[in-house]
This record gives sequence, C-alpha cells and structure tokens, in this order.
Amino acid sequence: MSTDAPANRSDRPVRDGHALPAESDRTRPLEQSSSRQQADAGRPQQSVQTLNRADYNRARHEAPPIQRHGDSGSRAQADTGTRSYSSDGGRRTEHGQIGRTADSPASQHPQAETPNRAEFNQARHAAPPIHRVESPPDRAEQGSGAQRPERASPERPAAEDAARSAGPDTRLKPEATLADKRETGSRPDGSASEVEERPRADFSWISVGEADRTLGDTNPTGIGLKPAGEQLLEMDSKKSRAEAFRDEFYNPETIEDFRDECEDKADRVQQLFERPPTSSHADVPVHHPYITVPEAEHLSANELAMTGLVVGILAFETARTIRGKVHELRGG
Amino acid sequence: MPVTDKQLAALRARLAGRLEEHKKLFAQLDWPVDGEGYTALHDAAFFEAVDRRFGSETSTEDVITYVADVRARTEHAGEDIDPEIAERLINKVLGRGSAGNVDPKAAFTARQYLLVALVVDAGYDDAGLDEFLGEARKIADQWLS
Repeated sequence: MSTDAPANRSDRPVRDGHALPAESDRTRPLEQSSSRQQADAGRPQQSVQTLNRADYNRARHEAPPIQRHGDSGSRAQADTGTRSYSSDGGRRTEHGQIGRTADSPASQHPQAETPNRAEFNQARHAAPPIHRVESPPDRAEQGSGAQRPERASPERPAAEDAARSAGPDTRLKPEATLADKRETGSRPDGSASEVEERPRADFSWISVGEADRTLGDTNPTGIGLKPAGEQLLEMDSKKSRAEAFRDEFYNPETIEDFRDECEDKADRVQQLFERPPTSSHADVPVHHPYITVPEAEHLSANELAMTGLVVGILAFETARTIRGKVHELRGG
Repeated sequence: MPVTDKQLAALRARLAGRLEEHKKLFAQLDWPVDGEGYTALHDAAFFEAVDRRFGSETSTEDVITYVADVRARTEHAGEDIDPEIAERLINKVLGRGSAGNVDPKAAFTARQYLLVALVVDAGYDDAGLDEFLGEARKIADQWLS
C-alpha cells in the first residue's frame, strides 16, 4: 500500500506544485472519500501519506469533484449523457445542473464549467427540491408493471380523480401522468424558476366501474370495494325489513285516512317540540368517584388528657388497694 | 312515481317544527297525485328514524320504555297513542313480530307522534335533517319504484 502510492501519484497531473488527484479520484463520491477518511483515522499513517493527503485535499478544494446525479444515484442512468429523468425524480434548475456526468461534454473541462461546492449549495438553497407527494415504489415493482391497489393520497390532483371517475376501465398511463405533471413554477421573488415537478412514472391504478362499486357509493372517488359479508348481511336485513314494513302497512285505500289524520293531529303533534323527553336526564361528568373513604379518626388533645387522667386515677386506686391489702396481711 | 320535492318540503317543515309552513305546503299537495308519495316518504322516515334510534340488540323493555316516555310528554300524546300499536310498529321495524290487524288510523297516529319524537330526540340540525330525509327518500323511492 505505501509502496504503490508514490508510484501512482507520479503519473498524476501537477498544478501549482501539487499533484492533482487522478480522474477516478475526482469523480469519487463524496461519501466514499469521507468514509475512507473515517476508516483511515485509526490507522498508523506514514508521514509521506499525511503530506499527500493534505496536498490532495488542497487540490481538491481548488478543483472539486464533479457532482454526481443528484438523487438518482444510478450510474447507468447518468452515463446516458442525456438529461433523462429517473423514476424517482431527477430535477433541473437554472442555477445548478445536477446530473452532469463524466461522459458528458461538459465534464471534459471540469474546472471551467463545473460549479464548485459553494455555488452548488447556493443554487440548491435558491431552488430547494420539490417535496414528493408519494414515495416511489421499488424498482422491481416498476419493472413488473403489476397493477397495485390504489393508495389514498390527500394531495391527489383533481385531474386524477376526474380521470378515475370517467368510467370503467379507465387507467392513467404513466406516460400521460408524466406529461401532465410537468409544471413551471415561480419563486417568491417573482423570477421564473423553471422547476419541473418530479414526474410520477410509477402511477398505475384501476378505476372500478359502477357495477363493482360499493352499494350506495356515489362518490366519484369511491374506492369501489364490494361490501364485506357482515355489511352485505346488514344491508340485506335493512332492505328486507323495510320491504316487510311497507308491505304490512301500505294500503292504497287508507291514504285518504292518512290525510285526515295528518290535518287533525298536526297541532297536537307539534307540542312534542315544546316538551322535552321526560325520561331524559343530563349526564353530569364528575372528576372523582362518588365513593369516599372515611378518614381515620384522630385523638384530640382533650381526649388524650382525659384518657391520661382516667389511666392515672385507675393506677393510683389500684396501687392504693394493693398497698392496703399488703398492710392487712402484715399487720394481721 | 318517485318522491317529489314538494312532498319532501312538506315533511321537512313538519319535522323541523315549522307548523305553519307545514300546513301551507301540505295544503298545496294534490293528494290524489301526491298522497302515495307523501305517505311513502313519511313511512320511510319513520322506518329510518326507528332504525337509527334502536339497534338490533334493543330489548322489548327498551321499546316499551320509549313508547311510555313519548306518551308521557304531552297530554294529547298519552291520549292519541295506543301503546300496544306503537310498540308493535317499532318491533316491526326491528324485524320482530307482526303489526298486522291493527287499526290503520291508530297506526297513522302512532307513526306521526313517534316520528316527530324520534327526530326531536335525535336533535338534527339542518344538514342532519337533510341527510336523514335523503335516506328516507331513497327508501321511499325503492318502495315506489
């Protein structure tokens, strides 16, 4: 390890008297180099290595490594040389060009066009990343194209809801979603930001037709689930009870009687609005139980004094009695 | 013929306690035409109100207690409501027994009182009353279809 390092460094370009890191080192991810620094922290290091590391860091500050593709982390996508968008959302801003790769033409002159870390951070603060509404699925799910159950999202766009309610077997294709979701925003200072929202290429759901929806579900965004067994039983029970009730009381011949009753009893029935239910009672919430534990009685000072006096008198009388008995026995 | 808005408005005024408005709207109904729809809506509202107030685990004692409570609210209620008919009406909605062979007029009267009492007890606001009557209208439309 120590013998190979100087030999390799002799081939590296030199600037301002310091050896610049090799191309492969400059494109090394930041976390990788930092992890190596942490790994090397506990090792005994030679002086030559320490000086070279310092030189390396100094040279690195002058020519920072090329930024990798912002969030995707996929070298295969980054090597395409185009501004393609990954499924989990590459983004483009006017300040920083994230996603430039070593193979792109701009990478051939990294010192001239690649923004340094400060510029990159400044650009990123000026145009923060867009919050994603939903997390991307696994890549395995993307590749399989399997239909997944829809997910409830409070921020689901109205266009999607409208598309879902359009009719049976309506599916939003990922391409359509991708094309629809590109938007151009503006910053608070009024300047155009040309921020494109992360494309949602992972959307796919099934829009359920009327025949498959829950009974009584008229909501266009209804989830379209059939009722469970208990729910179905309850609905059937209510419907059958209603039908039975109607069959037993409906008689077309008595409709006229109903009208007369309505007119005659209208004033009497109205009194129910003026009288509260007699059996109703207001529940009064309490914060402590009604069962109270009686406190133990304590002796007062008077009771103590009286007790002492009684005990004293009894002791005195007992002693006097005993002494009298003793005198009687001795004196005969 | 489904329930019309006029029939619904007349019953809504009844259940909202607006007596004069109810009388006015009720008088505007063309009874040979609207009678069937209005009675269906009224009975459906009674069914829905009982179904909401009493669950399947309601005991017979609860029904008896409630009918007695309604009859005790006003003097006229005690006179007009036949307790046996009222209890049989509620039990019929709950799927128990039969309410056949009852006097139709007495059953009408009991349903009127009980419906108003149930709505008063529920304490619906305007939105709640609309929702309640919406459900009743669905049931009535099923009956009339």
